[in-house]
Amino acid sequence: MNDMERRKFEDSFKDAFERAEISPSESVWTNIELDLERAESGKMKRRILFYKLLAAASVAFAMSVAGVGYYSMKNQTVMSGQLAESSSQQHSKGEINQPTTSGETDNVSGMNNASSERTTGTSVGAESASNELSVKVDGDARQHMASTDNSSLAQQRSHSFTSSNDHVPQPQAQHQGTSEFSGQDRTPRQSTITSQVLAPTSLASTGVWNAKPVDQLPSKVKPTHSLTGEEQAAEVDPVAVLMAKLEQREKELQAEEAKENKKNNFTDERLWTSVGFAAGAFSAGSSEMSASATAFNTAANQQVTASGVAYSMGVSVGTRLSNRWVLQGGVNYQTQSSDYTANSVVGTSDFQEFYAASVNTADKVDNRILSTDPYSVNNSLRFVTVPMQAGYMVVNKQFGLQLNAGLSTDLFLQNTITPEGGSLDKTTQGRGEESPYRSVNFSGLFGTELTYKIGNHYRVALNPGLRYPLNSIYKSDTGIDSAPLTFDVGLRFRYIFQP
Amino acid sequence: MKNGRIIGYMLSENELIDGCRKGDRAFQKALYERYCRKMMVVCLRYSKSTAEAEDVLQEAFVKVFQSIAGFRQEAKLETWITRIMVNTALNAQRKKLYLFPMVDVEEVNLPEEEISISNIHVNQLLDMIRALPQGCQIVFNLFAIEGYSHKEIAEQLGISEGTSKSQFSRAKSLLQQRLLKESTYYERYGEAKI
Repeated sequence: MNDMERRKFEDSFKDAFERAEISPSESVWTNIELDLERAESGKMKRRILFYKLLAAASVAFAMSVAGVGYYSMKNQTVMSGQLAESSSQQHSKGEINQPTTSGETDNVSGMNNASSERTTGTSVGAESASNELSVKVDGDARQHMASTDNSSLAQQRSHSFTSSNDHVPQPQAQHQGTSEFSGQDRTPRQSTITSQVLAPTSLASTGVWNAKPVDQLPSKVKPTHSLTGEEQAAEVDPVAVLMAKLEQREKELQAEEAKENKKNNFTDERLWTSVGFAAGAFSAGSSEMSASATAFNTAANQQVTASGVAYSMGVSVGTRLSNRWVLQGGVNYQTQSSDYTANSVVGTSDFQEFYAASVNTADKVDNRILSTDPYSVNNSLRFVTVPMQAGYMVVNKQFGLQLNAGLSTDLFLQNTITPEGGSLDKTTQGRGEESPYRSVNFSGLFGTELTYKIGNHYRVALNPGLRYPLNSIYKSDTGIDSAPLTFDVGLRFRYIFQP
Repeated sequence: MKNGRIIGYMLSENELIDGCRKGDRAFQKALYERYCRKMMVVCLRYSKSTAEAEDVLQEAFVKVFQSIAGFRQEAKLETWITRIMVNTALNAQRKKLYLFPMVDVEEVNLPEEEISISNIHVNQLLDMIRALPQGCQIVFNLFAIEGYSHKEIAEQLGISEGTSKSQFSRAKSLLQQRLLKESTYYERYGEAKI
């Protein structure tokens, strides 16, 4: 057998099978259908799981951002409070050192008065400036005092605050004290040192220190007295450094305050309207049907417990109530579509027409049910929903993050039962007495809104959210209790009237 | 469009594909009915029993419907479906091949005389192929009927090219011996045994 003949042999087999046909058994298609339905329901479950995870992730993200924001804001407030408190403590220490050194316990009360009065504001500070501590020390002790940081600090503070506060009366004794203290004559003699109690120009009750610019301090201090080289060296001022820090902090706080004030105006993005659509899935969850397990009830039960997809589109308007809070409302058209398997049909009284078994045909049931092969039925619900939500803006910049919660009034329009396969007609039931669905439902809404500003007038928003009916969507006389939980993700385009 | 059987014969290939892409069960059934008989033959060629072939047919058609959205129509629909059937059948056979790996078999001397299969019914040919040893059956199908080269078969089955050739040679020899018997029978009794 040559090669051509061998090839011929193979080709003859190929030709023989080219047109060959053998019918498989009927069960193959049934099994294929079952496999496909199983795969589709698995796909649906995965999709629902995806939406659940997406919603959970969004909520978790929003909560963590809110938490971090709150923590950092609180931390800043505490920091500024601590800083003001530490500065007041520094001053207190300086004041206390003097009487301790002098041992004049009587003066402590006067100083404490001044210290306590300091917190009451500028006018009190001015009064306290008149309080003088007359400390009698001998020459050695005085020299020792002059050489210590504490005394020089106290002195410097005395000069700086009295000089920087123009309207504070300058007691005569102070001039005496300072002139004596800085004078050339250092022979031991009894002298009076006027220890000017710290007189801050103002100290707000909140603990925010309002001092005069620190660069004024040296110029005012210099002319009033002259210190020796040692004293000048000691004058390198930690207080001035502290004052500079306080000054810097004050500026920061003022800037923040100005920023906050600007925010509080909340004049930007005051009013907006948006249009959008959302897609998601709903799950009937723990639906209940109080009926015996007949072929009809099995189909109706499947209808009630079926999960499906939900779509909505609509318009809304929103306004800012305050810096952070917003109110949003609108109107949406919503459809909820689910598939279930029925194995019976319901006939009319004359058995001329047949309908798919569904909750809608529950009142036509009496002795008119015919069992059939399983077939698929689609149930599509339509609503007009009027949501009203309050929102909290966690972030409101180019990128925005908002938490929303509210209520929706759902007006049932109709449901359409569409048996697949084509042998049964589809039926549509509007709202009213004939319908097993309530005409008006109320749903709780919760969601987040991630927005991004495009130009002055537009924002695009992605909002995953949950919708949960507060009551069963079926009428109570049907004996069905079902409140399907819906997860959807919406995409909205927002037009801002007042950017 | 009352049911799949009617539209199955009326619709073009493109309409069928579009319907299946949308997941419409009626279109899926129409496509199944159009190709299931041909594909059953393919599955039977790779199987040892009808039940096994039907399992492969079912699994392969599910794959067809699940992946038809990605079918780019570069090949004919029938060719694409056949490829899925063959791959599914090979996957099923691979498990057995793992247990009983294909090895080189002794070269055989092929009969010199020409053997015609024109008088033999396709069911008989199918029985002959299914009666071949596992490895021979697969290689014969892939080489003689599907038209793969030995190199491609070797790659697909994870065997050497030589093994593929020797398995085919063995398959061919066994088939020819069987065909010789059948032709003797035909010459003696004047009709094909069906």
